[in-house]
Amino acid sequence: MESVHNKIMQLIFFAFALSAILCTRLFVLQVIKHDYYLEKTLKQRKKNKNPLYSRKYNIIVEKSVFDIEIIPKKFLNKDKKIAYDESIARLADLIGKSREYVWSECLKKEGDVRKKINKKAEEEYEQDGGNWEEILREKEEMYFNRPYPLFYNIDKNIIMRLEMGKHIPAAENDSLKWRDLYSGFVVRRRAAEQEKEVEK
Amino acid sequence: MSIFNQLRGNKVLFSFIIPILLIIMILSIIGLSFVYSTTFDGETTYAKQKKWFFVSIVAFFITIRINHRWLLKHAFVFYVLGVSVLLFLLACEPFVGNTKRWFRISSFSIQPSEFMKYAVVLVLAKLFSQFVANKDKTHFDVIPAFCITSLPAALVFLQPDLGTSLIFFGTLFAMAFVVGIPIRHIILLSLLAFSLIYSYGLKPYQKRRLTNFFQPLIQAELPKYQQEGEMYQLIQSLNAYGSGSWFGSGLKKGYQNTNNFLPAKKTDFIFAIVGEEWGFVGTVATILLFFALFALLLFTAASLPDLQSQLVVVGITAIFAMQTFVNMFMTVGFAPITGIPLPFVSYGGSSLLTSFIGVGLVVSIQGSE
Repeated sequence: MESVHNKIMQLIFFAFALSAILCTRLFVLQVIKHDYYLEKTLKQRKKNKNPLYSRKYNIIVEKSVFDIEIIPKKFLNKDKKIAYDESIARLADLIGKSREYVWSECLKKEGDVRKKINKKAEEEYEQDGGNWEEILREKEEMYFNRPYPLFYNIDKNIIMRLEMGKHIPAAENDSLKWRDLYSGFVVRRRAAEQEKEVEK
Repeated sequence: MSIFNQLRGNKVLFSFIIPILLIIMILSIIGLSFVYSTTFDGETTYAKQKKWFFVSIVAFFITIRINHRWLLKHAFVFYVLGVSVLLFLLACEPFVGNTKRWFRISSFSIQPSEFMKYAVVLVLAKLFSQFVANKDKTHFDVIPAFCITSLPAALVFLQPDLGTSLIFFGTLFAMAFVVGIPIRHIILLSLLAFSLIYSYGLKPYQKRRLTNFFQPLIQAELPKYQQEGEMYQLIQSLNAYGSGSWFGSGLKKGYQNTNNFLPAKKTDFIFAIVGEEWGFVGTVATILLFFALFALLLFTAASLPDLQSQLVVVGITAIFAMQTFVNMFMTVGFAPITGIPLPFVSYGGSSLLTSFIGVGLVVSIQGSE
């Protein structure tokens, strides 16, 4: 029992040592290098001051871009078919374009992302070799499987391109329209394919 | 409340149990504050977490009424049940997202691996106490314990959830250390397990997370594709910490948070948001709270007369400590990035619920001893 007691005390000391290391690291990051990191953050923020780039309003983006559809957030767990129809209509209405145009823009964007993925995969394949399929799949996961980059792409490219010259908010009050546009949609490809099938 | 009645007038209540409960309540409130701070979806996420918080408190009061000896007696039943659930989860189509980590019940998701950790702790406590009692023991006698840990760890790894599967081994090593397995054996076993997993188990992107960890963290020295891709999350996390300075920007005012630069800011990277919005003072206070919690839990273990109970408490503490340190170290760039939530703080119902159940178990043990 004495030995168990000693070991437990050693564990407490170990936890203390780890906490001390963490505090030291945080002191360096937060106090000593504060200016460096703040500058980096502000640089990023500068880009986002433009409402076109704003990420203030959360967008839910499905984990995979292999399916693209547009779904208002409030309908996400309900009937997706209705949601998808309503969403297309809503977005098309908001931007004053046809539904076909909205889908073609989404698919175009996906094409751009895919080109980027292929390029990155080729770079890595040339550099490190390995299994091409695996590398490609991994890159797809990297770019499609994370909410952030997809969100970023939709935000910057699709919506911006769709809206450019027509709905750019002139005043702060107009940002509501932007919030509506930003916050309600999820882009997935499956619905686009469904849409195509329906059209056929 | 019977345990509190039993302990009335006992110094254990004021030395260990009340401080532990106070700390977990403060940590949970910190967690809720930052889930609120990172919520921009009409507060539904925050509301969900609040519900889980109340469910966890109820679960805590239920757990303290359970006799831990009954749990230890049926430890293998829980273990087999847990493994079966994990196997079933792997056999099914994913319920949530692309991974097989969660069950979906109504609008809530449950992560069985969080509960499995406690089943493993109970089984290991039984095995190790038998190991200590055995007079003709050799160190090879701990191999069954290693196998018993490896099975659920492998199943969780296949979900895939590398972070949680590592927690199983961390718990095993902490408990093995306490029963007197020499540290060199533990290191040797860890290296063996690591090299096997690295060679045969990891996907290329997981390997790169490990190798990236050894790369310079100075952003200017990283190629652009890494700044935008693999290292993106860590870079944003460091930016969040660095922007915090001494006192931070205040709740819902951090640039990284409001501009959505930091992925997983509600879950695995919530501590970076604490750093940004409460600054150095806030992060150090949180670390001190965690350290106090671990120390109190371990002091509780040391005060217990029975080895099995001691091992259960050590195991539970090891789960908390592993999760906390791995999570914090990864967000500051001192460990590879894995999906491990910060106990009591990160968004996630299963994590919060099982953390409260873990503490409830410790209180129950202390009360009955």
